[in-house]
Amino acid sequence: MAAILSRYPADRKRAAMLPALRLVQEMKGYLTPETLALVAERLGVAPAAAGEVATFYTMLRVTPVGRYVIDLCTNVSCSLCGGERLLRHLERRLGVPVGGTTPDGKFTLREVECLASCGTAPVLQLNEEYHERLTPETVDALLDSLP
Amino acid sequence: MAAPAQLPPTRPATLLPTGGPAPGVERVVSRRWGRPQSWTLASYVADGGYRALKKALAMTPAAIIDEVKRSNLRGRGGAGFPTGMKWSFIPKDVPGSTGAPSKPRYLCVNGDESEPGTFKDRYILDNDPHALIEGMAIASYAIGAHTAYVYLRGEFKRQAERMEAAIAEAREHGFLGPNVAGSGFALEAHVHRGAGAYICGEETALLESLEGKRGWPRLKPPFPAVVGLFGCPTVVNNVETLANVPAILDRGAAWFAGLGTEKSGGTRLMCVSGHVRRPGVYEVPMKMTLRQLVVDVCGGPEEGRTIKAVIPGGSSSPVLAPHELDVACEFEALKNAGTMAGSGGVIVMDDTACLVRTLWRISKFYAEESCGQCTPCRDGTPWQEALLYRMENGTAEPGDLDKLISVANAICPFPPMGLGNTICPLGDAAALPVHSFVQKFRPEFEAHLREKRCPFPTPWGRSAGAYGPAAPVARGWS
Amino acid sequence: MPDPSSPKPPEKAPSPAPPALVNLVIDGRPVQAKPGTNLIEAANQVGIDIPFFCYHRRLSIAANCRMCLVEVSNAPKLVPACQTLVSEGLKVTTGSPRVLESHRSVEQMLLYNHPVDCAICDQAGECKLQDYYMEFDHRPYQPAQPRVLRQKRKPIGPFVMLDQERCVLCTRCVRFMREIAQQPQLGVFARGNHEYIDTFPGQPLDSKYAGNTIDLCPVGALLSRDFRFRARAFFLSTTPSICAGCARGCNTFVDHYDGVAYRYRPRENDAVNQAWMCDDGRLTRRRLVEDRLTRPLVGRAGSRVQGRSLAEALSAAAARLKPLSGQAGLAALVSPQLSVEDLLAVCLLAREGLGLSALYEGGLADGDEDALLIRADKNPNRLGLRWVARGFGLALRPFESLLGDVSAGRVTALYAAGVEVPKEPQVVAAALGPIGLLVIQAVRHGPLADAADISLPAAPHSEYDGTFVNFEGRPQRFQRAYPEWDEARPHWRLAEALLRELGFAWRWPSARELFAELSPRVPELASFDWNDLGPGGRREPGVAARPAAADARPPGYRERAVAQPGQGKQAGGSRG
Repeated sequence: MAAILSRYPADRKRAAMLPALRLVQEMKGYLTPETLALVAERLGVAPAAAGEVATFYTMLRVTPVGRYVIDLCTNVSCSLCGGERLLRHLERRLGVPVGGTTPDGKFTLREVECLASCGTAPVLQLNEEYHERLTPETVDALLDSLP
Repeated sequence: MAAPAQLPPTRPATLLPTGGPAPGVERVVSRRWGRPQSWTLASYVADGGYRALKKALAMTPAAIIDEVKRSNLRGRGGAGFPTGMKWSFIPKDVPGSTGAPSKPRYLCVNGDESEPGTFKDRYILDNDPHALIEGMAIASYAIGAHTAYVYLRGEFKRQAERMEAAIAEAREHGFLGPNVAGSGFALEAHVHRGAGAYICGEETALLESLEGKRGWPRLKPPFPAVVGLFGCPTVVNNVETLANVPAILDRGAAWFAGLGTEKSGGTRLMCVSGHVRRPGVYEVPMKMTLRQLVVDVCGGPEEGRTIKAVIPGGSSSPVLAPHELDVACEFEALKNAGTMAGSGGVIVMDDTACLVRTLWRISKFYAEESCGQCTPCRDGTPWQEALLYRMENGTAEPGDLDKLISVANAICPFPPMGLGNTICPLGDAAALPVHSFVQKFRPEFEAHLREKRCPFPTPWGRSAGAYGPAAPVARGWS
Repeated sequence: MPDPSSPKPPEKAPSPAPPALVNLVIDGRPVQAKPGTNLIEAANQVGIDIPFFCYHRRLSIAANCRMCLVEVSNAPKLVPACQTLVSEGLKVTTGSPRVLESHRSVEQMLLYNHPVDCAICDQAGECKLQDYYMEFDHRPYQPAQPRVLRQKRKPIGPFVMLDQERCVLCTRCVRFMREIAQQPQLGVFARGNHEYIDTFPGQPLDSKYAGNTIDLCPVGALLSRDFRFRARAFFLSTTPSICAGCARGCNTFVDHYDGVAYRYRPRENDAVNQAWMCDDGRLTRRRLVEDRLTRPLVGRAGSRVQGRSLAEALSAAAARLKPLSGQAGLAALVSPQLSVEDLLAVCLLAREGLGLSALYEGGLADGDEDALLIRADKNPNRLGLRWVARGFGLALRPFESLLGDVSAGRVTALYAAGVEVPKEPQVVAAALGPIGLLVIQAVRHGPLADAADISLPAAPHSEYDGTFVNFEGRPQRFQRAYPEWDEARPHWRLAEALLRELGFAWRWPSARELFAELSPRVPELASFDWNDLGPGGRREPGVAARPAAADARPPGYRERAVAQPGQGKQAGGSRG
């Protein structure tokens, strides 16, 4: 935390909001009101300010997610190359709709916007790791390989 | 629930340009891509890296700005604004006569790269981070900034790590830090990761985000050059723009300007995706036409298919019909063709693509990514999306096409470009595709309305899409 | 992201001496405005209304509603009038087809997710969405299918109810809490079309200034829990008044219907309360309507004589007070809740009718205070009481000494004008038990009214004309909003009646004559003229006072920008 704060001017601690929230999220899995209030206090802002930020950005989560978060891109290039078919495949395979978490808490399936990997479409992020040029078969293999 | 499991990287450590450069082209930015360990300082210095920085530090800031102005380097983030001119807007004060500037200045590198169809900055960050660092150092020296922030989009985890490692390496070898290359000029650089918001690619939203707030674009004026990050003068440059700077200083403005056209110097990175045989990032001369790029360089569409439409500069730019493709990949030429160069994201659609569906998907993107600050964009983008969804799924009413245009007009009238009613250009970006798709492919929209269904097979091979706009990912508590 | 517009302006050389006034043309009309004025205010100077939702002249510019877009001669785009400042030679068009179409579009966009539940909305009648729909749109309602659903009724604080569905996200409330109240308890959560205003979980909107967000809300999203579902705004009448909640004397409007006050709203006065008031002040509205004493009570609780009229009660009181006049055991308690006019009459009664040389000073106990508006002194007219008592040669003794004097037997009879006391009323009533005669004038029922031998029903300040002097010595007039309830009468009228019963000839047709006759005895009051006192406060020399009626906003009033030359100088006068 101190390392994060050192990157920004001393009177602008608020700038550390995103890195700080990320740090907390990595530890806790998602952001609860309590942790948000804690971060806000540390950065010297009102809790509402942390809440505003946490709900604005797609990568910050205020609800629990599974152990593996699948962020599948279905933006133009990906969907031209089969992203939507992949989404349908994943929905069937996991048995949850977009935004849902499997009952065993293993997977959360999310549909996201462009991941800047259009040349290697379709693409998904599995816990922030890129997996590119996917087909239903490779996705199956990927998911099967997970512990 | 448990914290997400940490996964080992499952893809190759380095992204290689899938297509490579266009043959016979002088490469500037992608010159070193694909070389072994190209992201390390040793490799960069071996290839002549940081020579330009030393040269620049011996010059006056004004001379550097002048050199960049003469190179005709234009911003590669989308607007194509002359970079040298942008730097010169920073309020001047002459060191020595008026003492230290009262306010610090900042350089922000815009690595938010989130325009659909664009993926060039990711390759730069992966393959040649030191070129960016050198460009940053030169730019910081030119504008008098002692702190530079590299704002990377949140999804670029590996790239952020690589960038951080490169910064640490550069600092260790004295190319950053309190005494850059022995010149006495101090510069600290930090990586700041976003957290998933397209709007943060807009420069003032980026600054807000960097300040730890919601990415709501600011009202202009004042412009960031006067009131930017933390209320101080700030320059925001795209990654590709800065990666070009070392070469300009190294080989001269005249050489760089000579690579391009009259008003735009250098080469361009073009990102080609969609229905082409060899998608990828290509460094191309400005004079190359879109048709050459798509057909000759990228191999065109699959056998037996024909090009139906091409988006030339990321999903925000107005679409081009096949007969309009003989236009150079250059700012002015594309502007004259009624579209824009944008960020170089070329998306190709062949005759199997349903353009209503494609436009729906584009509109869904803007509806999802609208920051929600001003009315026309906040409520207009979902309205566009809803109307297009109805057309695609056969539930539209006859007046819906006119309604769609009127909604798009309320966000941003077109043509000409640049009349948007919103605070930031996201509104324009959301309305321009709608205007241009309907203008150029009206029969296809009318066919959808007439037949009350989509004449194309759905992407998953079944008719009658029950698959609609997905429920938005829930955010917030209520 | 592509930005088709040029991101940088050409650098402008700073002009050496800015001209005193800028000349521009708005809809063909020449306008002169100070540099730095925005187009909404400039247009307002010549009577042109530019519609807006998010703009408020006391808050920062957000320019997010895009309703105020107008055409200007120096830009190809439509520009927001709130953000654009006047410049020399600018030509502004506010009514061109292009501008009207943009108004219409914005209205449609805002209605896209709006529930259109005007029939059950408290804002109906004073809602900007309604007004602008009637003014610009007139097109059929085209709701989103399905609409984005949000929380419909969420009590976000003790005073405020939030309806997120009606919200147009103008962020006025958020900006107010941040910039004026400096308690950033509200925020905008989520993103895009799903955005909503809310509080942070577990952190309610408990600011003392939360009520102002209700006034600021241009639509029915933020509602007063005190007012919700109690009255239709378009039936209410409005009267300028002064808040009696503390010594600040915030300028208010009393909104009332059929003799019942339903709410207070702050009235603009740059010198006193800008455009705000606190929630405690708003809740003092309840004192106007709850537990009212509207008929006299004769006899103590238990041995009360029923059915006495006011005239009978006054005669009885005078008959019992008369023999005590000038005697040692008689004392008077006066409350700083009374108006200046009340105090003039009461002090006259005490001095000449009862032969007293000192008064006990009542009034509510001190409470909390802050830097913005709230004063520790919870009485509206303490300074007025001190002025008037001094003018009549009456010493003021603290309330605490009264109880001691009662228990020591030094006070055996008490006349109390206003029964607001700094201690628990039950305790005071018990302490006053040994007193032989207790005559009170009270607005409300309470332990003291029960303990009194004779309780005379007094009217609250919404029912008569009068003046309060706030903590900085600013006399501010309030107006009669509606007739007195039943037999309740202003304190001064009761004192006048007692004086007549005691054999004096004082008779005043109205508070104006009373003030004219008695105020010369009080030097502090000599400097101003009751007739010329606008309801806002003291008249500044050289500025004509407006007739009081011009000050009142009509029922169902529509907010417009306020721009009046010289307003800053005029301490009292203001217009909604």
